[in-house]
Amino acid sequence: MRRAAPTIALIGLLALPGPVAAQAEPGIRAENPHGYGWWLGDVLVQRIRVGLPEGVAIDPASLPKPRAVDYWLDLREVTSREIPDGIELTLRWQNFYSALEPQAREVPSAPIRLTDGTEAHLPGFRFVTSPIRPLAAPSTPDQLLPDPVYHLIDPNPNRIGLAASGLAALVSFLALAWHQAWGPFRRRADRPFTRAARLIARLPGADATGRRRQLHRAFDAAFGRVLIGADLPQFLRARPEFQPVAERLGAFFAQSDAAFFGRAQDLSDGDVAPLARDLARIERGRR
Amino acid sequence: MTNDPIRSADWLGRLQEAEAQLNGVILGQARAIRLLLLSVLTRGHVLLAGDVGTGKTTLLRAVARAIGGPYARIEGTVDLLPTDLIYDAHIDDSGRPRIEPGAVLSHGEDLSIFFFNEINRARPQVHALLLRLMAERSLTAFRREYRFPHLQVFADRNQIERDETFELPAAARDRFMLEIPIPLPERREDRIALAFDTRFHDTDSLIAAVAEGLLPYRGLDGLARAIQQDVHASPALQRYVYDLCAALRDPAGAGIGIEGVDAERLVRGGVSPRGMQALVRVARASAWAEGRDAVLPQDVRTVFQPVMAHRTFLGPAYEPRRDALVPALIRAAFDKIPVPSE
Repeated sequence: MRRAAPTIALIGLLALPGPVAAQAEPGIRAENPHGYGWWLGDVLVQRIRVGLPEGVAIDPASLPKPRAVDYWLDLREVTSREIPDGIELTLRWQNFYSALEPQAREVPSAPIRLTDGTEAHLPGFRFVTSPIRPLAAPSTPDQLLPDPVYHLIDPNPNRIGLAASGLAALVSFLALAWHQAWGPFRRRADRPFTRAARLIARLPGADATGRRRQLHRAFDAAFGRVLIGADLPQFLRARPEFQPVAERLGAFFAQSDAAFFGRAQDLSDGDVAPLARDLARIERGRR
Repeated sequence: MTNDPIRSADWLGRLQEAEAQLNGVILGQARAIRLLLLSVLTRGHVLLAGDVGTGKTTLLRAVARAIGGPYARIEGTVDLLPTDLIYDAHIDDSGRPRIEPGAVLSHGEDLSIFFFNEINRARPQVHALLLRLMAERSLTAFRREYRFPHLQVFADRNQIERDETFELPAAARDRFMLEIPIPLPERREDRIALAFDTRFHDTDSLIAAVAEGLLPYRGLDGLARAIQQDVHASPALQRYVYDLCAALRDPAGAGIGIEGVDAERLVRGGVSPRGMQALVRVARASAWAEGRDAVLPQDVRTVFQPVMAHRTFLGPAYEPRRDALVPALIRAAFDKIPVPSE
């Protein structure tokens, strides 16, 4: 028997009511606005009676706020009034839907919370809204807003820019062509002997050393560097086309050495002009 | 041509004979031999530049034998004193200290060749004494002045080590008429012969193949004077030499460009009047050795680098690369300077 007392106490404990997890949905009755005949700007009044148990109230923070609910719908005002077994909420909606034809719109439901933790929903409703005036009314030009002031676009800067760009492109292309030696910029084979022969023919008859010097400069240009008598074999190896006149070249350099560096300063012209002509002819591939 | 009993034509024949004999003894160094003989003909002092074991000493001994006359030699060391060149201090048989003539004086005033080995190992004091000896061919010792009318100084530089060496100052380098490079022989046959032919193993017997006194040293001064007087240098050639030297001194002004080098800053100095004089003298000797009586541009070209390279001082940024840059500069000058010019 002594053991029965705790068991009874345990059963008694289990029998106690636990904390209320969720109560039944409170009774909500909505008095919605009638479903048709609404125009742009109309205020729709919805009355909702929420039946509440004793000691339970609606959490005021959970009530929908007056606001622009949608682009076409404002909630202007929410008021509440106590009634014998609950609370009556009055929601004033305003319709801004500019209908082109009669159309049904849906006002959404909204959740609320009670102080005992229960959640409930304030019901939404449908209504049909209609256009205010006939759509077939003719439009007149004076109904239109005037055109905005327009600015003329000045095309000159663009034209100048276009011309400058075109010019820059042309110059770049010419530079590229020059750099790559395209077309007219392709270097023609230098013909120093031809040039020298022409110059030598023009020099006055007395200027024998001048003619010699011209031919020396032509040899320098043809060799790519200064050519002295001792380099003649090297020159002939590099430009074998001049081999047939090797003897005359040797004689020319020997005469030059004598003329410019020798003691006697022999300034006779010798073979210079014919030699220059023959060298020019070889250079042009005519011999 | 000279006052010497030996006539000019004989001298030329002897020179060619000496050159042929030297080329028979020293393989693959024809250019160095020619330049050495030109220095003999101009009585100029010579700096030899070459790797170890390329036959510099053998070459010098052979040339000394061809010239004849006393030959003295000293090794440059870091503790060598100027007095070591002049005096030889030692303990004699009876145990007393004795001072006797050193390397330079031991052969008297007749000394014909003095060879200073590894000159850059000696200190600058020694260089100073040597400079006087080279410039004035005289020396004060034992309270009197010694004169060496026939003296020619050859020196070689150690090019491998940098430690404990004293680079020759610019003034000292300028006093050397020529710097002659002694490269390895180019031809394979020459190198093989030098290694395998037993003739080249014994230097003494090898050098003995050169006839002694082929170019008698007592006559060389007169010959050198005669060559300078008799070999013609025309105005066109003078202009050429001037243009070349000007180009070497101011490459940018002469329009010379070397790849990767700022020509404005390349050359810091060099090409002294003494350098130009040396160039003309050696060029004249070169023309004479070729049997001509007038200097030609090729004479200038042959001797330009040995005469001018060691006198050209580059900007600090380029000095470390002088082995490549100076020859490139000289080549560019010869490629650019026209001859005969306007």
